[in-house]
Amino acid sequence: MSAGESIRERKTLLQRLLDGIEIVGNKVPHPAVIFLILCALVIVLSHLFYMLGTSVTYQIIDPQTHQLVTQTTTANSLLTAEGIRFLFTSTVRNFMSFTAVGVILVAMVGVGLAEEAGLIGALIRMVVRVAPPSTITFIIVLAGILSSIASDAGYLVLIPLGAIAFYSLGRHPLAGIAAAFAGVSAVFGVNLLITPTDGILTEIANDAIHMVNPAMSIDLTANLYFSAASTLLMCVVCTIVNDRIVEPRLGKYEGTPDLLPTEDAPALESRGLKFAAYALLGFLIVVGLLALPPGAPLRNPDTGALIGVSPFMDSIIVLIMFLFLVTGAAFGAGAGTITSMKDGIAAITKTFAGLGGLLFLFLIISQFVAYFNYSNLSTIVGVNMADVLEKLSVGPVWLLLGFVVIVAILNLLIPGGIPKWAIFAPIFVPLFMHLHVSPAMLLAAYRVGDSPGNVITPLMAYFGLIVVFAQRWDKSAGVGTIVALMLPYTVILYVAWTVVLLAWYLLGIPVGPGAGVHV
Amino acid sequence: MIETVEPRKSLVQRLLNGIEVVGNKVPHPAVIFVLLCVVVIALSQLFHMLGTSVTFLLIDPQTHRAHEETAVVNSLLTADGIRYLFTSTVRNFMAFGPVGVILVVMVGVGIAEEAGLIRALVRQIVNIAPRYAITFIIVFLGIISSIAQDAGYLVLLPLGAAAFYSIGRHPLAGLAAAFAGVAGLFGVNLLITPTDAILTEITNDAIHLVAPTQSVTLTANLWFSIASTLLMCVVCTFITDRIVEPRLGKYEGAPVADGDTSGDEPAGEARGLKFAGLALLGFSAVVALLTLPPGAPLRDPQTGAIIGDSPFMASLIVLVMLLFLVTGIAYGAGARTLGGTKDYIGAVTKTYAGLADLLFLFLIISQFIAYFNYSNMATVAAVKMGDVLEHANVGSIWLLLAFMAVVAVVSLVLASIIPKWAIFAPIFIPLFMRLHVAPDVVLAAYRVADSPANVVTPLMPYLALVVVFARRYLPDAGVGTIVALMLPYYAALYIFWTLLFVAWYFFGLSFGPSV
Repeated sequence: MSAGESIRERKTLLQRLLDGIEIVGNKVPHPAVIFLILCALVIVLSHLFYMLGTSVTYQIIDPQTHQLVTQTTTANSLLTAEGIRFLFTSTVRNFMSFTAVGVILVAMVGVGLAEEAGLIGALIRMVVRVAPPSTITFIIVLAGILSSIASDAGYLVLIPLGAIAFYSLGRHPLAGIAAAFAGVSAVFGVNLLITPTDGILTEIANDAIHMVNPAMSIDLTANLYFSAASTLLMCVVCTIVNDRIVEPRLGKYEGTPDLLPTEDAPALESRGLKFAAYALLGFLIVVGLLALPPGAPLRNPDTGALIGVSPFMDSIIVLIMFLFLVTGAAFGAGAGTITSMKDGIAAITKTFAGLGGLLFLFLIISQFVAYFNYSNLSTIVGVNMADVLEKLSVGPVWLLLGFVVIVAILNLLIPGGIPKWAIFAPIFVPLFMHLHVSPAMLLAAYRVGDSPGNVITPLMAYFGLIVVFAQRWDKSAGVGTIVALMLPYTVILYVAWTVVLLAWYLLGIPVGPGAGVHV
Repeated sequence: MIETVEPRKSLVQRLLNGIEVVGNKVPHPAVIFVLLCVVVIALSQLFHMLGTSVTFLLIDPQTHRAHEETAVVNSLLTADGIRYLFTSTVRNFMAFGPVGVILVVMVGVGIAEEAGLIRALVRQIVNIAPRYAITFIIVFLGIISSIAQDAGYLVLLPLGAAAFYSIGRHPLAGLAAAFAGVAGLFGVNLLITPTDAILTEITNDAIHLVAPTQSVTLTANLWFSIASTLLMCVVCTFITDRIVEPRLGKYEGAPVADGDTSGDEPAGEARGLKFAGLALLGFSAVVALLTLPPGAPLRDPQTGAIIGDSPFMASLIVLVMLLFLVTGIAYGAGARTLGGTKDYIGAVTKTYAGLADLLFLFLIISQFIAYFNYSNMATVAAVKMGDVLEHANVGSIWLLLAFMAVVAVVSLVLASIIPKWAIFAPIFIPLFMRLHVAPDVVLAAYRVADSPANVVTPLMPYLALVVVFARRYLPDAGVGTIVALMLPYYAALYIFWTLLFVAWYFFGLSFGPSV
């Protein structure tokens, strides 16, 4: 009984906290507006520092000669005649040099088709169906994490399925929702595989690296080891949190679902999966032939390398696109969901239409990035901050920890990995490079700070959807229900994941193939 | 009277049936371009194996001296070619200028559209226009509407019909006049449109195949476009009042649905227009300050020029976007149709969602263009065709006419102005440049040949919409009705517009400023 009271007390405390968050949250403008304000801020600051004649002198590695040269950078104003010319003439160019736009549109051609064909839903359903009951939590969380390869498909497909799976096993359906939601959203930033989001994060990181060292780049796999390890370890953490903390607190489910959803697997799904498997085999053979034999086209023509600087690595986005396109089309043909060119084009058009908001955001972010670069402010801030931090002699470990905390706090206001990284990368990548922390390591720290908060901030785009899913099982469910449900994951994930990150850094384990923790 | 009309209709009907059957077999433009990609890949390998090469004179961009250059066809199926196919996809897309242009411009135009500014403007002008001038004005507005892309189809067509109906004329004649203006003259305008920007980008991409330092500006066809707008507007007015409307006779039916939109001004429209007018004034003042004074930022810092290769011209896309953005937001605030950033962001998101199929098409077109460039086949083909035509001693005017005939035929199958130009520009721009016909002349010829077919081809996506509008007044109207209705415009526009172009060319008039 006293336990019940303490739970109720905890709930009301959370509720009050939540009310505060909601009020503040409603006052935070749309990310597009935030970036417009940041653009205005950069313009004003650039002129201010230009008038103050701010400049920094620092050492940089010349990309041609690879020798250390001393360079002086002054602040460029965006309000001089030259600056105004840049503002007016560069808009289209800025957008078109923001590679994330191309990456997401190319990748989503394939992923969108696979999604619309029902392949991704079928795969997730199949995994849930064949899993032994004792491992169902682990598998749902893992499937959630893996679903980030298809961007937001997991939210729509996996979370309702998690509830159904739990319910059919006699467990509490909200615990199933929580497990799936934790996997999809709280561990969104990592995966066992390369995701389209990786492509965008890498591009932004490289843009930031090129501010200080145009010759250096990280590639798509820069965080692969760290991501794979995080996926598995955090999956274990989420499973324990779910089975030991969340589900006991929920107790036994005694309600009846609003409408009892049936596992509505399309009739021809197994035929579709068979077709998709054949397509996968064919695809792997073709890619194998193009990549594996000595002198194959996708090997580096000079060194013969496949991993690292190679045409294969440059092709990964296109290969992901083709992988999903081929298997998605095969599934669609087998299951009868996509049977003509018209269906296929409609599926892709629908996917692109759903990216409208993201493209608009990219348009504004790309301007912000370009203005920031033009102003040289990032270089000046980075050099100055690095100077201060070097003199303070705070170790990179503490700095990494501080970085994770800052990202985590901001994540509550701006959920979504891409816009925040676009702000942080140009400031922190150069700063950490000065402290000899590699951009790949910083990106790993960013992933840790970025994701766990997603599941408790009502500002997350899909948060309302989760509430709707929960109401199917518990009519009285609201925002507070979900936040209370998910808070244990957020807190424990942050603690456990940060420990893993710092251990990784201190042990100096590479975060990805050819990506060490130091520069 | 009735007898002469009757057999003509059935003849048209039979012709139409044939077109419809063929038309239903033509695949989606995206598929056409995927097939073209495959064709380019196969042909590049073929010509590569044949060792096809051409030797020609090329002007060195640095020294500006002509030197001999040999171009061989690069295969896309060698190890290098396969590497290119796999690694260039994202780059090809991002190097395709139209993507950025259309997404930037539609931020402003999308907000103006969603706020209701464009509708309000059109309605105001139709309401205050004198009755006898109404046909001319509807056609004219139709042509002007292309600045807002396809908004004219959705806004002006029902309005044209309603306007005619409300003054006791045949509503289908009003529909036809508006449709002729919006679609039949889509390629020209009094102003610079987003389509101009895309056509210019593609033209420049084609020019750079042979002359990397040469470019045409956005205004390359401005004079010709203005003259075409006005003269063809007269032609369409004449066709409507003298041929189409007499043939339709008197309208005796009753509108099915309430198609009469001429009267119902949303409350607050006047206030919105006042706000928009003030915003326009402010915007113009700011742009003038940035452009007009000596040494202003948008003048060329070296020469002080405003027109030509100046920052002002390079800013036009952004200025068009800002113009619609500022006036659209002001209208939305005045008319209370949009308020708060959420509405604006919603408007842009909605507009972008509507561009989804276009973006996907661009994704494929950009690959086609990149493959075609990589293969060098454009250069080789242009050099060879140019050689043949030079030796054939056919005057460039006949060649232009032949080019226009080809475009006109293809337009019936591929209605959209941009994908067609993406195919033709890389072939014909270098070819005509070798014959000393400037790219802006070819672009003007293309505009003439491209647009009129829009009003009669069932493959034009909006034709189905026109049928729906016609059914409001004539419940049994079908595709045949529309094609029969529009065929006189189609024929007259091709004849008179081509004459205008030929006259323009012969008198050596300049097609746009600084050409």
